[in-house]
Amino acid sequence: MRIVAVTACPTGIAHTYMAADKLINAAKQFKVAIKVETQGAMGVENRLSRQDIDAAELVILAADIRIEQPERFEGKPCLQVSISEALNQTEQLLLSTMNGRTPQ
Amino acid sequence: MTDFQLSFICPLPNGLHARPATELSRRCQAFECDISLLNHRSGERVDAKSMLALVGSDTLHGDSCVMSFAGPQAESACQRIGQFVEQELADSDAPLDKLSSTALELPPSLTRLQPQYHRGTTVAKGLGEGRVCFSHSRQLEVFVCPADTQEWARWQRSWRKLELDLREKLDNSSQVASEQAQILDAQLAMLLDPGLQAEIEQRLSTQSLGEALVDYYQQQRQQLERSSSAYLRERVLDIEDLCWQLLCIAYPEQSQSSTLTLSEPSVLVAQHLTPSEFIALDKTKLRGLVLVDVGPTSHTAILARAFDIPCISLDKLEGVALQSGEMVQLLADYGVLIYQASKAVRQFYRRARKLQQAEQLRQKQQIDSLAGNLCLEVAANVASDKEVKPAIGKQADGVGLFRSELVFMERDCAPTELEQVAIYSNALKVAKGKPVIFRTLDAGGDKPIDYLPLPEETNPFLGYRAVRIYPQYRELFETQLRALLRAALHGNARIMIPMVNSLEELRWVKQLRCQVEQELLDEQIEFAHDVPLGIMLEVPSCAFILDALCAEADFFSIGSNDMTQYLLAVDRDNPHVAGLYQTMVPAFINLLQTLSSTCQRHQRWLGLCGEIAANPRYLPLFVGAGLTELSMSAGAIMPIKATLASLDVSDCQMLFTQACQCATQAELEALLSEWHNTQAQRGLMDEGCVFDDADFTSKEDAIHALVGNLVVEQRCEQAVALEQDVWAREMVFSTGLGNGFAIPHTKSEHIASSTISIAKLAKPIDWQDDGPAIEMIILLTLNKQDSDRHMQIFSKLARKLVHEEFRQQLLAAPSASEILDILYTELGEVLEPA
Repeated sequence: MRIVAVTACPTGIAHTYMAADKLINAAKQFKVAIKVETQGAMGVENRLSRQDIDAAELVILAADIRIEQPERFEGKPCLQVSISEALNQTEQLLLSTMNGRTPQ
Repeated sequence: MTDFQLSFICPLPNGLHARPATELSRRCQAFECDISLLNHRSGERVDAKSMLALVGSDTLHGDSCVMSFAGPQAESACQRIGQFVEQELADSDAPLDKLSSTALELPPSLTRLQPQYHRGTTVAKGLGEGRVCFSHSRQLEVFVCPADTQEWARWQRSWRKLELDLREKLDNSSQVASEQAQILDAQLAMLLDPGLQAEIEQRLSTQSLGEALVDYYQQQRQQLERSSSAYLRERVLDIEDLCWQLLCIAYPEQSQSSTLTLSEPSVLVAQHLTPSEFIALDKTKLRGLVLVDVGPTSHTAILARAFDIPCISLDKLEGVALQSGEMVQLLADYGVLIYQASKAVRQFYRRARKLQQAEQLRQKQQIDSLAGNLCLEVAANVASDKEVKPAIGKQADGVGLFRSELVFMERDCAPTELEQVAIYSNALKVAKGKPVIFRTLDAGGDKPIDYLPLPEETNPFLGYRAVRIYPQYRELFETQLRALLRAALHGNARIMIPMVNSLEELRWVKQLRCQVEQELLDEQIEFAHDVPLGIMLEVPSCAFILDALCAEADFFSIGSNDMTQYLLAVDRDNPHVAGLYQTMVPAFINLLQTLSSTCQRHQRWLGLCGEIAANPRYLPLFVGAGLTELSMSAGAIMPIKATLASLDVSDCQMLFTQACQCATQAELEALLSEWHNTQAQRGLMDEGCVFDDADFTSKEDAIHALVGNLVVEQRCEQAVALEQDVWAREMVFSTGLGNGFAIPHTKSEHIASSTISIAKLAKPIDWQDDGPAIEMIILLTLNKQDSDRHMQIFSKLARKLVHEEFRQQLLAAPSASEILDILYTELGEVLEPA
C-alpha cells in the first residue's frame, strides 16, 4: 500500500513535525510506504510530487488549518483528520485505512 | 524710589515647588529691597523672599510671571535675580522619576487563578507580603487649646528645638538615604522661612500656639488644594508634617498616641502618611504601603522608593474590603493588592518573589563580575563637593569632571585660598582615594562671573574664556592652583586645564605651577608634589599636535560637547543649525581614533566627559576605541556599568575598526543597529534555561516560572506579553503530548532571542487536559523574525519527541548539564554553537 500525507498545525513549530514523524513510524510498523509533506513555520518541506500523488492509493490530510494547494488531491481518496488525531491515534488511523474502510 | 521689573516664563516642569522656591527665596533674601512675584495666570502676588509664599503662588510650567523690586539695591537685585532665573532656575530642580500611570495587564498565570484584589497605581515597585495594619490619620485639632502667657516662649522653644532635631537627623542620614536628607533639608527650609515665622507670630497676639499652627495649616491647605498642579497639592502633606512636629514639641503630653508601631511583617494601609511618620516606621517590618491618592512625586513616595518599600496608591479607601491583621500580598509593579489569596494565588506570589530574587542576584553578579574585569572606569561629573559622596554611593569609580567654576560663581568676590582648600579637600576625602579630576576655572563665554569684568562678546564660545583669561587674572588662577595642590594632600587629585589649543598654553600653565610650588615651599606650606596635570581636549587643533602634548601632559579628557561644536562649526544653541549638532558622525569617530591611538602610543590616560558618554548605544565604540574612562552624571553610572558588563572588548574593537570605515552618519548608525541586534542574539539553549528538579505546582505556576526565567536570563523583556502568547496557543488545543511530556510553544515578537527551556519536574502536574500528569515540560519560544536555522532545530526536536527512547533518555538524565548534552548530541547536525 502507498500513502501520501500532509501535516499542518496553527503555529507550525511542533505538531506539524511530530505528526509527520509519528505517521512515518507507524507506517514502518505496518509495512506501508508513506511520504509526508510538512507545511510548518519553514514553509512546505518534502513536497509531494505529481507522481507521488498519482501513485498513492490514499491521501491523509492531518491539518488544523487550510493547507496549501489542496487542489492537488482532487479526485483522490482523502482522509481528513485533525493534527491531534494523527498524533495520538496514529496506529488506529493506519489500521482503519488498511482494513479497507472507504475513507471520506 | 524706582521699581525694577523682571518678566519671565516659568521654566520648571513641575512648577515652582519647594526645592526651586527655596533657591529663589534664598537669592531674594540676600537683598534689602522688597521683592514680589506676580503670577499672571493665577493672579497671585506674593513675597518672593518667602519660600512658602512662592509655593503658594501656584506657579506652573509655562506661567507668565513678573517680579518687582522696590527699595535699596533694587537695580542690582533685579539684575542678579534675572541672571539666576535665566541661567539656573530651570536646573534647580532634578527631573522626577516617571512612572507609568496606565494600568499594566496582569499575567494570565495570575488572572486564571481568579484572585481577589484591589487595583491602584504603582508608586514604588516591588513585592511585599504581610498583615494589614491601618494607620489612622492624625487630628491636628486635638492640639487646639486656650492661650496663656507663655505662647511666645513656647513658639520660640518649639521651632528652635525642631530646627536642632532636623539638623541632627540631617547629619545622621546616611548616603543611601540621600532622598531622606533632601526632604529633611526642604522641611528645614520651610521651618526657617520668614513667611511662616511671620504668619505664626502674627497669630500669637490673639491665639495659642496650638490654634495658630492649626489655623495656619488649614489656610495653607485651602490655598494649595486649589492649585492646578498635582505636585503642589501633594505639598499639603509636607506642611501638615511640619506643623505636626511643631505641635508635638510644643505639647509633649498630647503627642503620646501618635507613634505607629509594627509588631510583625506588615502592609500599612493609610489614608495618608507624612514623611516623618514614614521615617519613624520600623522598616524591617514594613513590607508594603497602600496609600490614597498619592502621586509619584510626594515626599512619602520618594522615601518609599529610597527605602525600597513597595507602594501603591488607591483612589479611595471607602469600599476597600480589608480586615486589620489579614494576610495580603502587594504586587506593586502591577499596582495590585491581593487579599484572601487561595493556595494557588499564594504560590503565584512565592514564585514572583523567587523570580525577583533570581533577577537581583543576576544583576549583582553582573556588576561583581565587572569589578574584576573592568574595561573602562565610569566616573561622575559634578559641580560641587556635596555631590561627590552620593556619586560614589552610586558606584562611581571617581570624579571625571569637577566643574570648579561653581565655586567662583554667585559671589561678590573670589573665594579665598583657604575656602577653596576646604571645598577641594572635602571632595577628595569623601571620594576615599578614588581619583577626582578638578577642571580649573572655565569662566567667560557663557559662564559670566560678576567680579571678573569680561567683555560682552558676539561669539563667546570662540572668545575670551577658560585658560585664555588666566594671564590677565593670574592671581586668581595662582590661588586656585595653590588651593588644589594643598588639598591634594587629602586624596587622589588631578588637575585639568580647559580650552588649551597649543603647547604654549600648556607650557605657560606648567611654568606657573612650578613657580607656585616654589612659593609654597618658601612659605613652608605643605602640598602634594606629584599631582598629575592634564588637558581637556575640546579644541580640534590639539589632535594635530597631540604627540607634542603627550610629551608634556599627564592625561587627557575629551570634552565632547564643545569638541563637537568646534569640530563641526555648529553652535548648538542656535536653533537654525542645532539639527547639525551630532556628536556621532564619521569625523568624530576618526578624531576619536587619532586621539586614542596617539595616547596609547604615549601611554597616556584618555577619558571622555561629555553627554555622549552616558549613551549606551555608543558605549561599544568607546570601549573599542580604547578609552580609559567615561565620566557622566551620577544617575547614569549604574545602567552604563551593567551594559559594560555584557560587552566583549575584542567585539567592540572590531566594531570600532568598522566604524572608522563608515563614510556617512547613516552608514555608521546602520552598523551600530546591526551590531546591537546581533548582540541580543544568544544560543537556543543554555544551562540557565534547564531545570532538572523543578518545584512547579500547576500549569499556571510552570508557565509563570519558565517565562519569568526568560526575563531573568535576559532573553525576554515583556514577560506578561510573552505569557499571553503562550497561553493563546494553549487555548487552541492542549500541548500535552499524552505521554508525560508537554511542549507549550509560541512564535512571538516578545522573545528577544529564541530559546528552548526545559524543566524536569520533581512532582508530576496536571496539564488541564485529558492526558496523564506531566513529568517534563519543554517550552519552545521562537522569535517571529528568527532564522530558519532555529526553526529547523525546533522541528527536529519536535520530531525526536515522538520517539519513546529519546523521551526516556531525557527523563533519565540526572542533571541539567546532561539534559543539555543529550540535546546537543541528538540535534548536533543542525545545532551550531551560538
